[in-house]
This record gives sequence, structure tokens and C-alpha cells, in this order.
Amino acid sequence: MISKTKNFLLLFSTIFFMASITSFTAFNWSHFSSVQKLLIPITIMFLGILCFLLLKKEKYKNLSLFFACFMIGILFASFGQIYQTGADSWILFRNWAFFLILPVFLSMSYAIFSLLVVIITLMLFFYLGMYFNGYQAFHMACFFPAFILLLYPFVTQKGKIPFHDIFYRSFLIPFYVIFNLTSISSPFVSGGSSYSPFSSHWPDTFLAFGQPLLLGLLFVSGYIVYKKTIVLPFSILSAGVFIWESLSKVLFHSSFQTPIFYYILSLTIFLGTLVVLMKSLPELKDGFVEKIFRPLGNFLKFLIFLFSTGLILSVTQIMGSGNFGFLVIGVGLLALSCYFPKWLHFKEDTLEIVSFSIGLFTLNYFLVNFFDLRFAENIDSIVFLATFNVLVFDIFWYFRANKSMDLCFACIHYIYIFILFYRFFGRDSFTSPLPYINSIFIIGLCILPLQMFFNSPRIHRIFYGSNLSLLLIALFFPTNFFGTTGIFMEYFRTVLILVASLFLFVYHLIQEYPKRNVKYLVLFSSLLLIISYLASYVKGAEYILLLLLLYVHRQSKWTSYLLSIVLCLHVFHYYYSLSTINLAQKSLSLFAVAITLFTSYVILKYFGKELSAHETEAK
Amino acid sequence: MKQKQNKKQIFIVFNFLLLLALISFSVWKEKGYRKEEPFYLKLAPVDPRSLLQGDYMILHYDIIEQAKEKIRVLQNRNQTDMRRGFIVLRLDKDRLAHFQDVVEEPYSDKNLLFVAFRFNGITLKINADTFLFQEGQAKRYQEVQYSKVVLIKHRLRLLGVTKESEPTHSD
Repeated sequence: MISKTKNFLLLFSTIFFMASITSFTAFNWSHFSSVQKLLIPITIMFLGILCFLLLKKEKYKNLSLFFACFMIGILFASFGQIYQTGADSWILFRNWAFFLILPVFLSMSYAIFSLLVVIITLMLFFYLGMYFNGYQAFHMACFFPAFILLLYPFVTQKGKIPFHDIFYRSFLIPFYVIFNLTSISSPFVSGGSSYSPFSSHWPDTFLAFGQPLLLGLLFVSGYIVYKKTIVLPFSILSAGVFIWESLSKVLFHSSFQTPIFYYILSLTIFLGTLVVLMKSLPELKDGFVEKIFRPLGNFLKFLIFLFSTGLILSVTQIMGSGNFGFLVIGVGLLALSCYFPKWLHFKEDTLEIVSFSIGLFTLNYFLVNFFDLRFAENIDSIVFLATFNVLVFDIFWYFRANKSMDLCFACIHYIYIFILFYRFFGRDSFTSPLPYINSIFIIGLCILPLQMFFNSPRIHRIFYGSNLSLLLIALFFPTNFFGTTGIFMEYFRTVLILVASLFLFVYHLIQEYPKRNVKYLVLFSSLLLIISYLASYVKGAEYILLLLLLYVHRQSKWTSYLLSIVLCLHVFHYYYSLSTINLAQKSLSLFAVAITLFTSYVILKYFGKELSAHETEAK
Repeated sequence: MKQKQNKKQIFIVFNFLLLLALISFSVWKEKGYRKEEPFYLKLAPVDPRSLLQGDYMILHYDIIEQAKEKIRVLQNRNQTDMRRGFIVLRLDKDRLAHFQDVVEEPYSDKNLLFVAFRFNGITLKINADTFLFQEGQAKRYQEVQYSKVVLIKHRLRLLGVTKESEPTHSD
């Protein structure tokens, strides 16, 4: 854990530092002259180059060079800001990409190469956005990373360069996810009164033929030629989604718009895709790819279930059953969720939870219409419906052992507690419901350390769901949005997070290090307290760090990676969103966190050698 | 091996020195543009935030609406798709620019200015579309009436914005 913590501290200190400088320059200081404003990014960039030249270890050299390469973009942005050049956004990214080419090929750093690919994709997006709508520009810009994925195996083979699996998968998976999500939303966002793949509007033609060609080439190159099995399940899914997208676009823009026909067609396509996907499973011998297979299959099953429910609802409406049709379907789906485990021999619980969720949603629809519930006029309607849902959920959760329900348990009950708080305490005294959200966050934080004392997988899943629910609260409801009790709540929340972090860290040290050196306990506990306190300057970041600590201790690799990505996204959102503090203040907060993380890294590196050695021996 | 490493480092440093040289050259050019004689365009502003450059104001000009109207007339008459061209302007005694015409190619007339534009059917862009300022100073610029520009090779370069109803001096 110590070596992973060190790497994390170094990486995130760099990320926070880059965000701090970006924020500082974006403030656009009117007190500085043009030359002074330009000198800031130039100086920092050359400091990065200096570190690149002087440092010995490859890891530090590449990090310094990456930092200097990022500052190129800040420099061009500052230039445009100072001289009001009015240049299009794509020109900034084009110039930035030009000066990344040499560092990429000379350093062979995947981090800088990834930056170059992202910059070029953004350049294409902004350039195409000048001539076409946002959706078309985005979709066409995605062709560039796909082109890189096509060429990468070929280049590594010919150039005798080691194939970097993590890089390939890090680009491949997001590419397919984003590409497919864009395809799924396409029939609903593409405007106009008509659609044809042979239209004079060339982006339609380009996407209609370019998409299958690209996906086909990726499949041939990645799977057939270079035997990268991860490409297979994504190619099958993408083929199904593309066929559905094309037929949906044609139907939506034609005069033949019968819901039942549309549902049957969609079901046929997705069922066919699922069958092909299931048949390809024996081909996959890679453990990681088999893990990817499951969520892709579950996604298709979810779509099949959704369209089936839509089909049944359409049929019942045509038959004239009215509101009672929803009651019958809702009860039917809930009953079905009880029998799915038996039919599937307890191997699969995704269909249970999908059936349960859609059944419950349908029942809610029936109840709202039957009792004529008006939420805007009467909060008791919400309490009634919430109580009904929680009761049904609790009964099913108790009698049916189900992983998905364990994950949702905490979230459902937090929402219910919030509704009760708001109904009984909130309406007259407070205009904002947000203090009650904070109260739930505090309740969740108080019980968080308890998960260290349980070994049951079911309890861990429940706490996992609780941790993620609190993460959503920390990200979307930061403390500075609260009402009259805001400041007290803010400090209380921060203190609780510090205490919880400290508890987790001390617990880990006691468990892992039998020597129980008091000196190290005191040193690292102090370090943790300082990191968490300063991290609280960037609202929400302190809680993400707490969760990272927890899941690194649990050696949960994927959750740790996911939380690292969440932290990066949160820093970006914090920087970019308009709020009560300005960019200069945000710059200071981000800088404070960067310095703290870096100092912690240095302390851990030079004073934690004994602990690192112990970790290496234990492995 | 070490020699190869040193060579790579030299090329990387060269890359950044080249960047510095380019920026220095661009700064020198920009300072030169500011010495050109400016003129003024009447505007109607609007206010969001850029990803890397902070707060900015979108500048919208009277001449743009007039140009778009003229382009539509030309398109209907000649059945042409005018994506690029030039807005013809004439300056009055206060150096305030007034719309005259839209042409595909500029011609020689020392009393006229030719401003390059791009048109995608909905938005017409003439380069000086945004004004970047320090965060939080949006109110200061809410009452601006004119943008102060220079014309460099038919492309506008924004120098600033002014509040005065008579554009006698810049802000």
C-alpha cells in the first residue's frame, strides 16, 4: 500500500498543480502586463524541462516532460487571451499538437502520446463543430482515436516495440463506450424531417458508411490479425447497436411510425446480438476480457427487457386495458423477478433487478394515476409513494439474496430518510432541502468505519453501495450550497472525514505492520490529517481521498482506479464550474492541495523506506 | 546508449526553444498590429466562460446582421452558396465603420475596407467575436458600445472595447 500511495501522491500532486496553473492563467489578471502574463507559463514550462534534464529516474523525467507538454497548451491559451487574437479553438489545439509530436517520438512516453491523441481529437471536434452540429462533429472526431487503435498493433509489431496492453485497453474501452452511447442517442438527436444514408448532407453519408467500415476494420485488425480478444465482444455489441441506430433513424423520419413494429424490430436486433455474444464466450480465454463480457451482456439484457416491457405496454394500451394494464404488468414483472433466480439456476441477478425495477416503476405509474397523486401540491403523496417503494424493496431484499439489491440498499434508504426529514422538519423552517442531504451524509460518514469490523461479503456490498451514495452527495452537493447551518455543517463534515480517514489509516497500519512503530504511526497519521484538511479546500476531494484509502487497503484494484478517475474529473469540474469563489481562489486551493500531496510524497519516500521494505518482503 | 539519450534530450529542448521563438515572433507581430490605425464597430454583447482562457464576452455586430441579410438576397438571386467572402465597410469622420456590401473578392478602393468572413448558413464569423477579460469584471463591460479593431490582411484584430457613445478614445 505504501508504494501505491507514493505513486498516487506524486501523480495527483502534478494533476492538482496543473489545474492550479490553468485556473490562475484563466483568471486573466488585469494587473499584470502582457509580458508578465506570458512569462508565467513560459517559466513554469522551462522549469518542467529543467526537471526533465536533471532528474535521473525515467518515471520522474516522463512526468516532468508531460507537465511541460501540458504547459504548451496553457501558453497558447494565454497568448490568445492577452492579444485577443479571436482565433478559433481548433487552432489552439492544432498548434499544441504540433509541438507535442517531437516529445512523443523522442520520449516514447505513453502519457504524452495519450495527451497528443486527446488534443488532436479535440482539434477535430472544434474544427468540425464550425460546420456541422455538435453530435456529428463529436461522432466524426471519434474516428481519429479509432484510427490510432487500428494502427497501434501494426506499428508495435513492425517497430519491434513492446505492446502496451494498458494503453490499448485504456483507449479501446472508452472509445467503444462513447461511440456506442453516441450511436444510441443518435436517432433521438438527429434533427430534420428526413434521413437517408445517401443524402446530399455528406456527414449523414459519411457516418452511415464510415461507421461500419471503421468498426469492421477495428475488428479485423484487432481480433483477426493481432488476436486481441478484448475487441471481439465490443465489435459484436457495436454491430448490433449500429444496425439498430440505422433502422431507428429511418423509421423515426418516415411516415411509418408504429410503436409495436418498432419494439419488435428493436427486440429482434438486440436478441440476435446477445445470441452472437453468448456464442462467442468460449473464444475468450482472457480473464480480464471475460469480466468485460458480463457488463456488455447485462447491458443488452437490460435493453431487451426495456423494449419487451414497452411492447407489452403498447399491446395492453391497444387492447384498451387503460391504467389497470400497468397494474397487471407491474405485478407480473415483480413476480417474474422472484422466479428468475430459479430459472437461471442462481447464476445471474441482473435480470432480476431489471425486472424488479421496471415492475416497481410500472406499479408507481399505476398508483399515481389511480390515487391522483399531485406531488407539487401535497408532499404526503411523495411520502406515501416512497414508503410503498421502500416496503416492497425491503421485503424483496430480505427474502431474495441479490447482489444488486445489496448495492442499492443504502441509497434507497438514504433517499427515504431524506424525504421523511423534509416532510417532518423542513417545509416551514427552511426553503432549501440541502441541509437534510448534508445530515444524511454525516449519518453515512458515522457508520463508514464500521465496515472494517465485518467480513461478510453481503455487508461489504451494502457498505459499498453506501460509500458510492455518499460519493454522489459529496460531488453534487458540496457544503457551500447549504443554508443557515451551512458553516457549522461544513466544519463538522470535514472533521468527520478527517477522523474517519485517520481511523482507517491507523487500523491499516496496526493490521499490516506487526512492529507497530509508534514513530511511524504518529508521522503518517499527522500526514493524513494534513492531507485531508487541505483536500477539503477542494470541496468533495477529501471524501474521494478517504474512499481511495479504504479501497487501497482492501486491495480493490478496479475501485481504486475508478476513484482515481473520479478525483481527476472532480478537479476538472471544480475548476470549470461557476461558483461563489473565483478562479484565483480556486487556483490557491488547488495549489495548497498540490503542495501538500507533494510534501507527503517526499516524506513517505524518505521516511517510509522501512515500511516499503516490509511491504516488499511480505509480497 | 548515453549518447543516444543525450541526443534525444537535445531535440526535446530544441522543440521547446522553437516554441519560445514562435511565441516571441508572434508577440512582436501583435505589437506591430497595435500600431496600425484603429477603427470602431458598433456592437451588442452577450457572456460565458472558455475552458482555458476564463471569462469572455461574445461580441455581436450590427454589420453581421446586415451582411447575413445581403448574403441571403445574393443566394436567392444567384443560387450560390456563399460560405466565404468579404464585408465591405466605409469609415465616417469618427472612424466608425458602416456596412456597404458583401463581395466574393476584394477590389481596389482606398475608401473602403474589406473584412473576411465565414458563414455556415447560421453563424457568420469575422474573427473579432470574443473579448476576454478578468473573471468577475463582466459588469464593467456590460455597457460597452463599440469594439476597437485593426484590419490586418482583411482579418480583424480586436484591441479592446469602449463604453463611450462617441468613440473618441479606448477604455
